[in-house]
Amino acid sequence: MLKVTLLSLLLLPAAALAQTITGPLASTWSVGAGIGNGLELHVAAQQKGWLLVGRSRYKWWGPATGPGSVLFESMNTRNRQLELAALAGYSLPLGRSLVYGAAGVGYLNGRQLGEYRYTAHYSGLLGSETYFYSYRSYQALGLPAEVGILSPKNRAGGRWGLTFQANFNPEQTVYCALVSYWLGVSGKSNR
Amino acid sequence: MKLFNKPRWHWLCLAGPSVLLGCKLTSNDVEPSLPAVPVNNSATLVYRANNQPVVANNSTDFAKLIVSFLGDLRAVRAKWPTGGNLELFGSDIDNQPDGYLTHSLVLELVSFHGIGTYSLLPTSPTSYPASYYQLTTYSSTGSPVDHAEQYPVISAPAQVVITDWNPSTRHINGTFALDVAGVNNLQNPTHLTEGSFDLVVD
Repeated sequence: MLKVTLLSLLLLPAAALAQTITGPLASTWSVGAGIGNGLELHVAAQQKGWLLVGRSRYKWWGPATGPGSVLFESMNTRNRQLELAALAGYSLPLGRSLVYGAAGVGYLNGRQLGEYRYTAHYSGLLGSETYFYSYRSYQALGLPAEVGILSPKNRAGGRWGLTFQANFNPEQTVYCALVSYWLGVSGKSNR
Repeated sequence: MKLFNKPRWHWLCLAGPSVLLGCKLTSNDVEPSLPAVPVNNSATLVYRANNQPVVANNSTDFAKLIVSFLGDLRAVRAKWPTGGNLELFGSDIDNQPDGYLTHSLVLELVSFHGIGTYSLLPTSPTSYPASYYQLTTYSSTGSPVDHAEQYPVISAPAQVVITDWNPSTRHINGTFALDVAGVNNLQNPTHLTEGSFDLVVD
């Protein structure tokens, strides 16, 4: 119940903003997903260029230095951040493509690694290790922002996109570059 | 959803500061938990030193198999000449990457006789305590560059509790807690807590 209330609080400002600038909620919808240095699911409403985007993104990454910092080494040694965000923005046609930008408010739940603590050893032909770090567990509100470009609509009615996302917050600012797919973006929005 | 029927600017006012600045909701610093012993069914000794976890466990791989012919390189081991004192040794030297501080702990159980509680304190103020804790810093090439020994503090509890002992297999496990101090931290002892071990005695 608390989570539902919190989500409502997060979404209401963006919804109110959309109401203010576009009138009734947009009737053109799309859903999609993105993958890059993170995974993302999104739903978007669009009308006359105005955008309202809800997104959920999960990102995990290793420590910058120390044990487990080598790519694919000890996959459990990871920083993590889950973001639930609501954004409002605007899109412009670029030929048959669309470019857009949006910003809003987001809820974050994550853990940020601190200092290395210990290693557990496992037997095997080459042996293996699992590294453990101290970490900070956090929840925060932040400022999500997103810019991207969407390809012309394909036969299936979808668009491929290249998306750059960020979340600015007091705990851990995160940047993501994602290849995304948007299904159901209306051609009317091309104007 | 009457709320959506017209603009609600007060929601923007409420959300404004958090949008511009963000804010923390909760934030907790967490130390990783100690693994259950034994780790990977190998000889294991774990504890916390001033709340920071220390883990030592043996493991086998091809490289260790080769160098084992050079001598006993086990980082966790115990020896007990029947009827004498049991000496338990645990070091995370194999667990720590090069360049990181390593921790070695020796616990001597006087007149070991199986399940029970053993004091780690010296029997007299003048006797040299056999139990000690050692911190060693290694260079990136693996050679020790500094070490500091600490010994059980007499004014604090220092004991090992043997919770299970099988005389035929010599499998032993138990718990321990003690305070140790050396010349560099006489006024600020290191608290070794939540200690536990599981291994087979030589």
